[in-house]
Amino acid sequence: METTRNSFVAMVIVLVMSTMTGGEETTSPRRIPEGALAPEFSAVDVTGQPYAYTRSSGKVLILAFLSSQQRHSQEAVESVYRALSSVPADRLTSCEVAFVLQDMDNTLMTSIQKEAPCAIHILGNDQYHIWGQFGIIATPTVLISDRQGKVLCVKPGLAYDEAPVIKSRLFQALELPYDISPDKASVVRTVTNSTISAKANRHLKMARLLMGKNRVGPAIEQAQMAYQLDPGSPEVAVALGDLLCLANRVDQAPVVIRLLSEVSVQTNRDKARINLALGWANREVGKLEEAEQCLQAGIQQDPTSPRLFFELGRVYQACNDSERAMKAYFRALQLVYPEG
Amino acid sequence: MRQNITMLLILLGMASSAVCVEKPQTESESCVTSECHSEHLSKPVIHDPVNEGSCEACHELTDVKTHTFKFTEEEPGLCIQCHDELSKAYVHGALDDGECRQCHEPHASEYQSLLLAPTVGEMCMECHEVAEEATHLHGPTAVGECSLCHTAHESDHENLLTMGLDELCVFCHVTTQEEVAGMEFVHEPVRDNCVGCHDPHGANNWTMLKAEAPEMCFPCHEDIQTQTQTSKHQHNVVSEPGGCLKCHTPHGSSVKFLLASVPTTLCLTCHDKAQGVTPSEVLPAFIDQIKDKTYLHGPIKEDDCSGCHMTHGSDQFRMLAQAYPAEFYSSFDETKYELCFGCHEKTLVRTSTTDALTDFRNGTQNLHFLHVNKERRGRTCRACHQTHASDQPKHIRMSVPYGGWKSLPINFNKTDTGGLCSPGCHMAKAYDRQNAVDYTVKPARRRTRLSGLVPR
Repeated sequence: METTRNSFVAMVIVLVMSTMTGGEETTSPRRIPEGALAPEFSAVDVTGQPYAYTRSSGKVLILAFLSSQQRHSQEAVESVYRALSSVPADRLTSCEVAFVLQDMDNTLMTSIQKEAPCAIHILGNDQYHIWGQFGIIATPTVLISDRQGKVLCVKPGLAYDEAPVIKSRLFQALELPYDISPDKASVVRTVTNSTISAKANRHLKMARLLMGKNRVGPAIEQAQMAYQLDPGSPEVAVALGDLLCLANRVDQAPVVIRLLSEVSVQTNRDKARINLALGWANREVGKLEEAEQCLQAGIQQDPTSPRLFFELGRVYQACNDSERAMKAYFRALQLVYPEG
Repeated sequence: MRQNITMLLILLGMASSAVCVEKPQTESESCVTSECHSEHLSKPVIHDPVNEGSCEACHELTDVKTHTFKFTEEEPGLCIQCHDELSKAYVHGALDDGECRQCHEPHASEYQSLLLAPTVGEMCMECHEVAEEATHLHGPTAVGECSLCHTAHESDHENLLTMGLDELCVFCHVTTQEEVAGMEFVHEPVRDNCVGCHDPHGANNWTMLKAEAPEMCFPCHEDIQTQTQTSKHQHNVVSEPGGCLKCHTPHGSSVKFLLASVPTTLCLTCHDKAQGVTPSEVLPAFIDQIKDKTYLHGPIKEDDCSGCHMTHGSDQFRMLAQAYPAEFYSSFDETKYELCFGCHEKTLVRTSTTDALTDFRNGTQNLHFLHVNKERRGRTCRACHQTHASDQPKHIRMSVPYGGWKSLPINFNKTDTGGLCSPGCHMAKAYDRQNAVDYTVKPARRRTRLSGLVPR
């Protein structure tokens, strides 16, 4: 009975207080926020020398709070060193690297000193003064500020993205170009190699290798597989057309015309490849005029291709124009045997 | 098999010559005539000396009357007279034995390179049985072109590869190489040992893996295997077929541990709904604990559940990385909270005064020490802090379970320099770091009655 009454009283008090104390938090956080100015601080380093950080030094600050008692401190050191190792050596002098240790553990200190890629400072902090200045809550915490002392990154607890974030922020602080912007550093990118384009390219590569071995049939099959996967790829279409032409697959000539008539490519060499295949295909289907036009255009785009001249010769031969056919064949031979 | 075929051919040759044409007993200008050895010229691929009628390049007449010949030199010397001598580190076993004819016809063949079989693949299969029952074949194996990866005669690389393993696979798998180049973290075998995981000829697993994960992964990652299989609390998904690949990507990732995605995203693939832990215990959907919460615990905010949980398995309750009591009420002992002290300083509860270590202080009086470090009724971390997320600053709980109450409110209010708590545990008390509250002034409330409510 007594307990029930006590409970009731307590509940009433609690409910009353809860109405008094509710509301949105407007207070500032303990940990220094990104964008704030890093506080200047001083300490004694492990060698007994005084150390001071001032924003006027114009140096990038990398400050890591570690403790041998806490998990992941060693890994945080590795992440910092991994980032520093990717910085050009001449820019490392622009960095001020300090490790704040809550306990001067020899193993951790030795490890920090042994692997250091540049000058570093190990600072003692047994009264938590630096810890308090930066509002540290957990270790490891890695902080990076730029040359003006603006805090760019406070990374606590060694999260999955610590390495890319630290690296990206360090490059930002040093004003060095880096292909991953800080706001994208946490995005996980993986090797997928399973895109349609990647699969099509593998078949295309196989097709070329098989052609190199004179395995024309399997090579065409591979190129056809690539085309099935990625019919919109100009590279695939050109390669398939090229192979069908090279293999003289007469029955496929209409396919080649359909494949290549609408394809758009950038280089003159590829344009010439298309015109060669179209020239061959048009001749095979009896469109000699179109064939000649394609091959003449191809010769303009790549005057060094003997195949274009050879095909042109065949077109002229089909037109019973022996003189021009001979000329074209002769030019093809000249290109194959330039020494005469 | 090959020996049988050779014997058969010899017998057939002897029989045909015995039946059809008499052997010449005088020297003739050419061995290939319409009556003799004409079959050599009827095939599409002819050995040059045969084509040129230079039989003496290989054969030397020993007795004109019996029409018998001997080789001008024994194999492989015979072939090396014209073909380059093998000088590289690795030589095809057949050539080591001097048996060029194990693969090539000496006179003429229906097939390229005077091979005995229609394709390189079929030729190789005569001796090398690879991927015969495989359901997933490598492209070159499937098209029977072993020579895309192997040289037939000699190589500077083991297994007669055309290139080193660091170059060979990416010669075709260009996209993989390009993607890997941009990755901060790359699986070690990817650099030069794709065949560590993939069977280069073919296998019965997806992408020609030698085995399915996790069996594929465990031989190298023995520590994970041990953790997965012997932990008191095991993460079931790891042991499932393809388990490892549900969280890890095999080639490369921009983040450590080759994670396939952001950790919380991976965890919430399953933990967005309730999961059965044991037949009698169901883990509630984790998403409900953090959804729409204002304040997230550091590891949650950092999207990294592995800050506290061992993802493969652990001997600790809820697969935690270190000790943390399963019960809500438990007397305080540092060793019970190793998990929390894995990131937060133990000094937090050891020192009675501080001006920097924590914001939970009244002046320099450390209120963590006051609450926790007591022989009797020392409060635990979770008595005040919500583990994953809270709608109150500092992850302070909205309420605690006590006795028959499921939610006894804590009523924490943070200020710029301190805060105020008015929980069921004690009278409302404020704290201020700059102007310490004088606790010696007792509030004129019914303290004696409420003291009976302090949770034990």
